[in-house]
Amino acid sequence: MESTLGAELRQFVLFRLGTEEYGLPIERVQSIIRYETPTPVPHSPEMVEGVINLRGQVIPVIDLAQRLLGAPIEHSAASRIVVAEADSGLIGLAVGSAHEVATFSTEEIMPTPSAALTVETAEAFQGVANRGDRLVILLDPEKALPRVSYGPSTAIEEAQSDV
Amino acid sequence: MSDDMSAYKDVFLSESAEYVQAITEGLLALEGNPNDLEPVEVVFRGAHSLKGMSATMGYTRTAELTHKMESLMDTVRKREQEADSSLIDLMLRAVDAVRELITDESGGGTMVDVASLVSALVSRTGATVQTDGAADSDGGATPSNARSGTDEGVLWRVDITLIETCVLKAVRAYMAIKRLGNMGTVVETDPGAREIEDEKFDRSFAVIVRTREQAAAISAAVLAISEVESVEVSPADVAAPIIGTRPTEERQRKSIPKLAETQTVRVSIGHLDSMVNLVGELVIIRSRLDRLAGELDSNELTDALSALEQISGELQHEVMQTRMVPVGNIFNRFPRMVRDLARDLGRSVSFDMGGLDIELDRTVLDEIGDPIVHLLRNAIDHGIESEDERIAAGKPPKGTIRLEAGRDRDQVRIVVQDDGKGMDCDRIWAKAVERGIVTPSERDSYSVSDILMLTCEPGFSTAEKTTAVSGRGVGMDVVKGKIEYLGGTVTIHSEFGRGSRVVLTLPLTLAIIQSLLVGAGEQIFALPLSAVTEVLARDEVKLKTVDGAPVVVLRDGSVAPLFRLDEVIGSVQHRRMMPEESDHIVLLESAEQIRALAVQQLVGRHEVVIKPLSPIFKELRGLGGATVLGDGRVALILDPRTLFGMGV
Repeated sequence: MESTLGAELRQFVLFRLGTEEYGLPIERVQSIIRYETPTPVPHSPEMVEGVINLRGQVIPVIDLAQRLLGAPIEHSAASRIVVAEADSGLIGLAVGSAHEVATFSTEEIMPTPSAALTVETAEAFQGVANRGDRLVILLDPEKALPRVSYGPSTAIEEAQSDV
Repeated sequence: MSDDMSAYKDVFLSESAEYVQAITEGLLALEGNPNDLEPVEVVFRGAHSLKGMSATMGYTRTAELTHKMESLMDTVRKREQEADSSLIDLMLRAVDAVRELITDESGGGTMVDVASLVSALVSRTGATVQTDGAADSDGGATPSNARSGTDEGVLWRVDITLIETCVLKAVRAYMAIKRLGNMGTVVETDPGAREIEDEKFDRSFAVIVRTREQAAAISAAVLAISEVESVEVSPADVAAPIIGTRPTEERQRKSIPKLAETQTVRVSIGHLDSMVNLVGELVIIRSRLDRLAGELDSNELTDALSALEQISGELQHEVMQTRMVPVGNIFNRFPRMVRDLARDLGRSVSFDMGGLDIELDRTVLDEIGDPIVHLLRNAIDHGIESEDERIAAGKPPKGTIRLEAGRDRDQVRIVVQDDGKGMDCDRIWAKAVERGIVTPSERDSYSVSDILMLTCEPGFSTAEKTTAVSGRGVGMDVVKGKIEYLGGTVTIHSEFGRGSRVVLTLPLTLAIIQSLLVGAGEQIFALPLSAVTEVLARDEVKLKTVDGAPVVVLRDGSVAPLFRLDEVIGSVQHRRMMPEESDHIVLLESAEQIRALAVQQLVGRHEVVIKPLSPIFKELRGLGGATVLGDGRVALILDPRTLFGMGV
């Protein structure tokens, strides 16, 4: 099928967080693995679940629901970790399930309805696309993959100051 | 000169291993072609050289056994008898005994008895009159030049016995050796450093130390280490076998040109290991400097750091290069093993190997021996069919197994391939369902390679668990765990009816440090062993509080602040609590300051491979990296310097 002039086809890996469906550009996804409980990293922000051993490489796992919805995800047998290539290297995104790859033309991608946005998530959304009767939220990988910032102090430093 | 007295023994051990290997290879070649005199010559000369070397070292039982082996081979050499399979078997058994004997005698033991083997060799040598003239005179022992005290002090033998309930023998031994090293120079340990590290000793071990201190001071220093039951200090007897005597010059490997003729220097593994450890520490410090540079935001510092990063990277590369060893060093024992195993299982197998000159890090090589043994066993036991089955399937009656190493940029691939019956996906699936690893409804989401990988799940092959005592061949889960611990991967390819192919991909080099693994709750952490000065039980330390904060009173009366690991990592909210009764206290030293860390579990001493943490963690204090444990779990490496803000 010939697409309209200027339109371009893009592929997205679709996954679920709670009731919402999201898409991440396929070129940023390295693999999808079954969810495993990460090793927690002390004093890291809430959205960082910890680190896992991905074939001998140690990579961080981000609770994407915590990042986008502000609440942690309930893990089930269907849960997956989407391994994505971020600026800081490989990063794991914990999601409810990851099931398919969809192709959208750039023309099908619409701006996100402003009612759906909060301050925290606005920049992470690239747009939305219709898929049958469902609406898929497409993520901007640069913005959705967190640049984590840390609180200034840790328990140790406070404890240290007591000595 | 004083430090390398033990080097003669090391030279003997490494050279004798080469001769033992040459004899084994010669015997296997002879078995393939009993009329070929060339391997006979190799075996004869190998036995002859071993005889001379072991006599020089004063290992009389080894010398006697190898003498009898030489005599027997002499009759074959003179065509007085055939090298039939019973002769080969006898000689192979003798080679095995030589290997055991050398370990035994060089460790000062008297356990291995070879009298029956010696008489079997003698009777097989038969009526042929044996003159001792077969051997020339270079086998005679030269008297040792006695070494007495020098201005560096005198040699003491310190025999140390740990209490029966000691859990971390290697850690205690390490502390004793470290402490003795501070008083002088540790010349030698018995058993060797590597055995002590691996806890391959009972409760006692000995350290030979050169020091100017008196016996009482030495004894007191060692007794101060907890869990030491007794210490005996005696003047070291230089003639005792532990130090050995000097082998005559010029006998350094002239007859067996096995290794490539390149310019090389023999360096003790201990030196290489400590260099690797130091470089590992450097990697940890570098990550700390990176963090500091980020805080200070100074361009000059950042530039200097990037230069440091480049240089330390190159240094690490060079150091790791020195540890590279050809895979042939461990592969060469496999032909014998495959032969024996195939015979025991009644299989007819032709085995060949390739890529023997491919090099790998010594630690990696040490670790992959057992996994490869397991894969070869699987290939023989479960892969290759019986001759009848093979003929019925239209295959050549003799099965083929190939072991090959290859280099692929910065990775090494090791492939074990067989032309046996292959793996049956349906059976594997059924077994995985039966074992509760998967549920039947999931089948559609599993690809063929996913299903083959199920054989690597823990609990898949339960039948083999019982052999765990032997320490090898435990199951594919252990193979996968080991390889992943080394930063590698396992992939399985198999075609039902046609054969299987298992590929191990391994990194060329590693950054490794010695560490003490400790636990808080469920989680395991690694502490660099270089920072650990002591490990004590809770009731061995005197605790006090200063301004409500717990401190440990050290032996010299000074106090060190005490932290609980579970507090440090934030899993317990209460601040500055006293440790639990069951806790262990680890004393950590950095920049001359001591801090006490109460840990909830002591796991033990391990060599760990440092993996970098993602840059998203770079602002976190107290972490030096991460490592993958043998069971595939991730353990974070704590950096004691930043953990407590020490020395900043």
